[in-house]
Amino acid sequence: MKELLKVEGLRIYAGGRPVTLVESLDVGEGEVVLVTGPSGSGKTSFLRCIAEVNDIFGITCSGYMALGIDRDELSYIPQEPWFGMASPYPILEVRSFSNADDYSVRRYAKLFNVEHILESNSMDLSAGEIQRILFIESVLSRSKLVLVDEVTAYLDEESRKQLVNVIEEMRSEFGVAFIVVDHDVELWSRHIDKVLYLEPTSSSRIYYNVDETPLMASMDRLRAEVEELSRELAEKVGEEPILKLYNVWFRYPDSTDFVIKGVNIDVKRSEMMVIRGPSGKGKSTLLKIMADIYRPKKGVVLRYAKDIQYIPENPLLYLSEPTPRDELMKNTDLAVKSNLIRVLDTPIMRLSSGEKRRLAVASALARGSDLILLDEPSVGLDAENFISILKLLIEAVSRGVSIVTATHSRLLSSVTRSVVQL
Amino acid sequence: MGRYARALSAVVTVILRSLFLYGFSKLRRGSISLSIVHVVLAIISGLGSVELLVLYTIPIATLYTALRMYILLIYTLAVSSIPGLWMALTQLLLDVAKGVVDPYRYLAIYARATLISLNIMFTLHTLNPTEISKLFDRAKRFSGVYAQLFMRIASFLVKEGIEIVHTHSLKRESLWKTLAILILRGDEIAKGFSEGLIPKYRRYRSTAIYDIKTVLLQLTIIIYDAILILITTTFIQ
Repeated sequence: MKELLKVEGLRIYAGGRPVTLVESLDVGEGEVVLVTGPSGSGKTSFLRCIAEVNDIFGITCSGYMALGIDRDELSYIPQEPWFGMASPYPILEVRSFSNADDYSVRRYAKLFNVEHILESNSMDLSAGEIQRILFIESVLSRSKLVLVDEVTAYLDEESRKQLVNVIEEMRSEFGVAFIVVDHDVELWSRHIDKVLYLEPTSSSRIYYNVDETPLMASMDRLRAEVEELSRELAEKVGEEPILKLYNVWFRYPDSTDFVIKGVNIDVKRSEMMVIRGPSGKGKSTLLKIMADIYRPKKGVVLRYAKDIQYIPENPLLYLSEPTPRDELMKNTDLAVKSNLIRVLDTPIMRLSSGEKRRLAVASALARGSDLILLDEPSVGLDAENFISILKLLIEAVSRGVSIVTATHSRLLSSVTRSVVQL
Repeated sequence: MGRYARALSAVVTVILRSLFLYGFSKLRRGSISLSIVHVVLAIISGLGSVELLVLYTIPIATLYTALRMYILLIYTLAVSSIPGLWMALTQLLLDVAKGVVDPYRYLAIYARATLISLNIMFTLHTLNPTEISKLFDRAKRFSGVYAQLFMRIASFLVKEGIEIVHTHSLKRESLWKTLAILILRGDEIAKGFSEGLIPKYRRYRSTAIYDIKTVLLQLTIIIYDAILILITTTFIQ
């Protein structure tokens, strides 16, 4: 078996501060390696070092790393997949960077269920759709090694299973190797050759069975905590209406098809509601209609809330102050509850993805909002961060705040009984 | 939502939709050079007469309609009206100061500026990114990717801008803070797209994609322009 990547004693630093140490890793042809570990353990930094884009983010790596293939045979799908798409239209992206013909592109697009968006404007695609397009591009460019950060974060259940099957097929038929970063370790249990478990500031470990990783133990604890929080949440739902949607229909101006079709929703005070559905089915659109950002073509939206806050998929777009202290308007109580006390004076651009999400929710609470609309609040969060966010949301609900979230997360959906399926 | 935010977002949305409403449509698969020929002919021959400019614009409006892009035509008219209104109102103010007011003149100024803008917008709508990339690539290898990246980032920035304006408006943030975040986000976007592009740019190969029907329609418009020029020059002589 040809060795595609060999790493030994690779120390990773961010801004001169040690992040992690990758003791040893070999990746051979057709192997699938899962990189996992808690937030801040350097998973993304490790992939960036392999892809040689670490300099852009002030990350340095020292140690031994040898690539057994040509750089052109390596594909990299970043954590924020929209940055991986350089073309204004998906069809151009795949054709330009894979050199594949139209027929092959359409064949794979059908397989990944994105055939209908090949000619769409890239700016209109959901993160999950972009991720699938980039995956097709990697397949068609005959990459030997594919690096995927947060591989399933933006995918719905069906697409996750599809993706795992495609990876399985590609490795067995074409010998393509994958290094995937993911928090959903259970999904990969029967499909990986090894797990690289990273720990912040200490050395990595290799496991050959997902069940042996520390994350699996934390998953059981996570489930127990979610169950407990779910019981707590069920007792809090009030009777007072906060938002009502009657027979709401919506379509984008360039489309003749309605993306939202006759939706009826009744949100009560102190209720946590989850909107679920496959990528591109209008979950974010529905949140924007609730927030009065989009106006429905048909139907009525009644808002009884005094203050509505909308937190987009990228929480950075919500934040407007230079540091968490300013963003929380010096509310240290909220900083403690949202586990942000250590980073109160850190510039918001330097916060981790989990910290940005917690800060955005805490900031909405600090503004006295009684309805918070959250788009994909659990993307890229490890068990600890997930519980932190959940506790913060439940704290908000106990204060009389209603929360509507759009999510793919099974775990988040299991917290509440109010689930809207699109 | 605040009035200012709604107004700002409405203006930005109209601009965004007037430029990027449809995906890789048939209109985008024509040839930019043919569109430029039409616009140059329209401006040179029609600048002196509103009636002639109308005649040069009719085939464009027909093309949008034939390709079922009515909404794009409406957004384009809305955006094209901005310079027309600006010029007409400026002239009106000057004339009021002079004490001479001629309503027909302002209407003519408005119509002329709007029609020329509409023709220029047509060129932007027929900008075929694959054709531009091919041209860039001929000048310098891999440089074709920048033409595509420019279109991608332009639409991405405008869309994110709208999202930030809306989100901050719900937060009741001042406009200057929103602008500061937009600038900060610009830096993050630059890093993000570099991260996505650097590992794969060497694989980039430009491929020109055309739609034969669109190219034929563009050629028909040029033939129409030529006939119009022939008729008007003969008529004038």
